[in-house]
Amino acid sequence: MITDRKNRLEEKPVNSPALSKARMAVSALMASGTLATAWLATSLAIASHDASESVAAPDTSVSVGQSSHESSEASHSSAKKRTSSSSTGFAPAKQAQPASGTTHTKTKGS
Amino acid sequence: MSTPGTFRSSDAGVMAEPVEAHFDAIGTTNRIIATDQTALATAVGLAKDYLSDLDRAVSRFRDDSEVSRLAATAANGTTWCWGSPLFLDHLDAALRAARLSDGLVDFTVGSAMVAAGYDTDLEAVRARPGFTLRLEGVRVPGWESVGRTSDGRITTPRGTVLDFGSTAKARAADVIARRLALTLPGGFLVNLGGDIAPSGTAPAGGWRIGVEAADGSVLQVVSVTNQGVATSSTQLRRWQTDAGTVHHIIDPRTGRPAPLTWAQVTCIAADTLEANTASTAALVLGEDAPDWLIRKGVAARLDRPDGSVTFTPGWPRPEAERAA
Repeated sequence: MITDRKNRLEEKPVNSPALSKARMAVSALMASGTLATAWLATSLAIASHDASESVAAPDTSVSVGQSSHESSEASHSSAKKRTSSSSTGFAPAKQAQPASGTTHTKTKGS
Repeated sequence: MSTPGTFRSSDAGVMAEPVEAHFDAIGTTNRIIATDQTALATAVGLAKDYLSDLDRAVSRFRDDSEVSRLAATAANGTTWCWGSPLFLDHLDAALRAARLSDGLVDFTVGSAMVAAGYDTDLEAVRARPGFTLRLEGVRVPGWESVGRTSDGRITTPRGTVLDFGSTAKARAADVIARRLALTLPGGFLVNLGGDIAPSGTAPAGGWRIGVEAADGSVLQVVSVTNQGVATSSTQLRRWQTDAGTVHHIIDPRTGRPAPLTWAQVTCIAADTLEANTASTAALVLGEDAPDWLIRKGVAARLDRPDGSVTFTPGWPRPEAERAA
């Protein structure tokens, strides 16, 4: 009995299909939880960044000058931030219809 | 206010038809079409004023523009400037186009464009005899190398020449169309050198847009109500060099003119900037263009130099083809 019980205790955690499935489910849950947390953090960062970018630019005349290394780095990191936080998809458009006859205007290469 | 250009009815004798005015600006012919005749003169004035300001901000061909001044100082090293609101708006549009196109539409191709010979108005470029192509060693800095802070400070690396040629007309068409609809009665069609933006109330049956080939013939007519329409071509802005004919669509991956796979590509999208971004990217991509457009969900008509045509899903098939 004791041996049987011991065998059961030793074998079931390794071989039970039910337990394997349970382990996979737990792993999946943990992974999705991590992803959800990461997604939430990213979304908050994007919302914060978009809000800061919606501030109207000052109406100043243009001044041009050589950049210091520091300011250059700051601007570049800003550009990278924008890149990572912006939508990259074309917006859905209503479908155009076939037509004939006179035209209101023409599209041509430019 | 600016004086309106030439007026004519789009369909002479039919009073219900929209009316049109056209004028030259930013190196091309521009057309404003209005459903309400009383709004046309004001609409043209608004468009002319906007395009005049735009030329001062982003033209590569005038020394006093913001783009030219930035390029002049960038020749000596990494540089920066405060952009005007109009410059920043067009920079943001160009950044959006770069992201949408996976970097295929890149506004830092200016130095490559200059090396290819397109460094002044096209008529002057064409009139210049024996231009020597200088494409060896040309490098496109890449749109991600340009910094833009939320308070309007723009930074560019050494040697960068910004070129908004792939986005400025389209963005301008979108902005002008929106302003017209907000301030004037009726519907409008703003056509800046072939980049077309509708706004307000479209006429019954929609706006009929002809897709024009390089020889001036109309390939097809489509009807839109609120979509942007744009065509990019390898056939029109061309000039001679010592190495043969070149055109103005630069592949930012190589710094050289894009392949001549397509004579022109026309796209329909949610706005004109997106339509022109897609059509320009398609020319750069060559044979890969149809698959890319399908993946991006953009309706397009792609015409090869031999006259054969490819359509992506969502593009209205020509009526003759539908009947067959």
